[in-house]
Amino acid sequence: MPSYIKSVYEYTKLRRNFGRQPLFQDVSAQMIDSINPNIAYQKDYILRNPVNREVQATLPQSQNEINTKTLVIREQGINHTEGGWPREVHLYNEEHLIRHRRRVMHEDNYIHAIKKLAPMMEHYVDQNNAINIYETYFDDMQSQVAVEKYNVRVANVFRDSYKRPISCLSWTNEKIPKLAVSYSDKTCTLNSEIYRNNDCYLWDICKQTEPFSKLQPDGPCWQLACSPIHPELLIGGLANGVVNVFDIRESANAISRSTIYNSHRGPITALLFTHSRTNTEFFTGSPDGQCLWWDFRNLSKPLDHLPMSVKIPVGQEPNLSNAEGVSSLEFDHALPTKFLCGTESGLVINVNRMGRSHSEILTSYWNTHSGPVRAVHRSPCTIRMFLTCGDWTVRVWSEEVRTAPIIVTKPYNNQVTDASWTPLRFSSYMAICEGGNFYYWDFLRKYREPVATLKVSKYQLTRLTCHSEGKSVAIGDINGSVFLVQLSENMVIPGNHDKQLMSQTYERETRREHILDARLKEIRLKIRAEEETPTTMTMPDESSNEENLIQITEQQYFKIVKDELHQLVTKTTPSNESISQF
Amino acid sequence: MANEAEETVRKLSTHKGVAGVIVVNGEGIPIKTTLDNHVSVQYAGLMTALVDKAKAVVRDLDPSNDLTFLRIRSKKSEVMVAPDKEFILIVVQNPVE
Repeated sequence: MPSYIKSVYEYTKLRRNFGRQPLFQDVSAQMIDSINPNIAYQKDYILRNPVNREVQATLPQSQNEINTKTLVIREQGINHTEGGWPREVHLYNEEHLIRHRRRVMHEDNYIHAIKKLAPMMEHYVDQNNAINIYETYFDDMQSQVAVEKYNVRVANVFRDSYKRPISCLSWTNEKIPKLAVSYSDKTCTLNSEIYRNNDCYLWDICKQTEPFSKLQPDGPCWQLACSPIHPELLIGGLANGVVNVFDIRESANAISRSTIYNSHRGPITALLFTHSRTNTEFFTGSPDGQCLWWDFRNLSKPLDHLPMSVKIPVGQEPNLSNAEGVSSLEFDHALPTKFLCGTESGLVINVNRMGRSHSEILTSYWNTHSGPVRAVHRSPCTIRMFLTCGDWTVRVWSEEVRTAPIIVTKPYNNQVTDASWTPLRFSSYMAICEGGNFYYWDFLRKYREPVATLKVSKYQLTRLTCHSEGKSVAIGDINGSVFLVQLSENMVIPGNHDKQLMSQTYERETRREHILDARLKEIRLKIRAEEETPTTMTMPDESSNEENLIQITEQQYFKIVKDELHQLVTKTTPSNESISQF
Repeated sequence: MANEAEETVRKLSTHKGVAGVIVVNGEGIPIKTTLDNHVSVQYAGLMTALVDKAKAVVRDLDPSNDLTFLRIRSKKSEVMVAPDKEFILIVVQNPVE
């Protein structure tokens, strides 16, 4: 215990050094001095009122230090070389050790223990002698590449409480994307159902109970597109041909609209963002037969318009009366000045905006379907290949071949409503049909039938859109439900040689069509040549003998037919398909 | 009776591949051994501790369970330990192949 600091100081002093003791006497009071108050001084002072006085109220506190007893710890090791011997046995006395051991060996316990343990030990010793149980089997075998298993599953369902059919789906272009969905019944006419709810929803894919936000367009919204750089800007194309621009940060209503006089005369069936420096331009198509280009900063009038007329009767200018109604548009950023347009009559028109005359702009067209072309999509791998869907089939076309599709698959049981290539995988595409099925095709794995199918809904499916990373696909149906379908890894990522193989497939099919086309032309030329020669021959006979004339024409006719048949037989079967295009 | 025990231990030590046999009692003293003293003492001390630990592991995971055998495979040899109530039988074996 530390000692206290002494607050006492002791010293010794002799009595005689103290000094004389004081002796007190009682004396009467004597006035030594009297000082009177000076009035003059008093005038220099005044009474202070109020008086400011500082007071401090504190808790009485004191500081004290204490400490526990210090524990002295020391680490020390013990070396126990041999131990357990009882006290009387000395370690270095061999005799003692042996005697002790002998004693233990004679105990009953010892004998029983040995008898019990020995057989078990023998068994294991023998086992070790017989086989090496610790070796790793199949050590030198190479691991196999896992077999691809296609798996499609519905991850989430977003239902509309009003059960309106879905007219358009679009993913927003942000890191955690949301789904923009527009609901409208495309078969209804404009005037009916004005009280119907026109709201478009923006869904957060993690929350399926209610949408993230709502947009309220002025009318039924047929198309929806999300801005590529601003995730809060959305463009909606309405059923009356007007375009609405929405900003979800600001309000649910449109922040700007195009005037009805300057917009389309029919509902907007296609709306896409185009390439522009400011990323603010988009174009729209409608069954009224024209495409309009807009800048969403200024919707007062369109930037450009183009009537989609390809079959112009002689003597007329291209205008809306001979234009084809637009049912779908396709724009790829790799080709900024060109786009594909699918029409209501089943044509797909290749448009080059940089052309100078109308015929240069609408360069070429294909007869794709017998009905409106519901979707046109260019392949992300081979730009010159595109697929179209409409009526009951999905067809793949090449820009170089005009006459026939390069890849044709079996017709579906129901009408195909939407199709698109997968964004990352070069050889696959997806299609949905009116029977509620989702089909996933892969041309390099299975040519004749889809690789995976999934019955998504018991209602008709209307739209399909794939997220740019390829893993999630949003499918909408006619009952207002949006299904979020997830694909397994092997359906998202392309294989090692896919790009090469797919471009080879494209080359091969295109070449086949070219060859067939050339051959057909040859046949046609030949037939036309033969048609001309009979006319020169019958001229002199006409004047002389009628019977002779008949005979000769008969002969010529049969000769032509025989030639035709002969050629048909020698050619291979694919030509039969293309001859139907005759 | 004691001879029988001796015989058993001797037979065990003459098995193919067996390098040594040690019988250790509850206090850690090697009672019967076919190896050198210092090696036996080392094995005795180390194995007793390990067997106790292993027993504790087995009993802790399932109190109705008990340790019957312990095998330690190393690069050069295999040590097999058969525990009993009071004694431990240790056999050191070299792999045959």
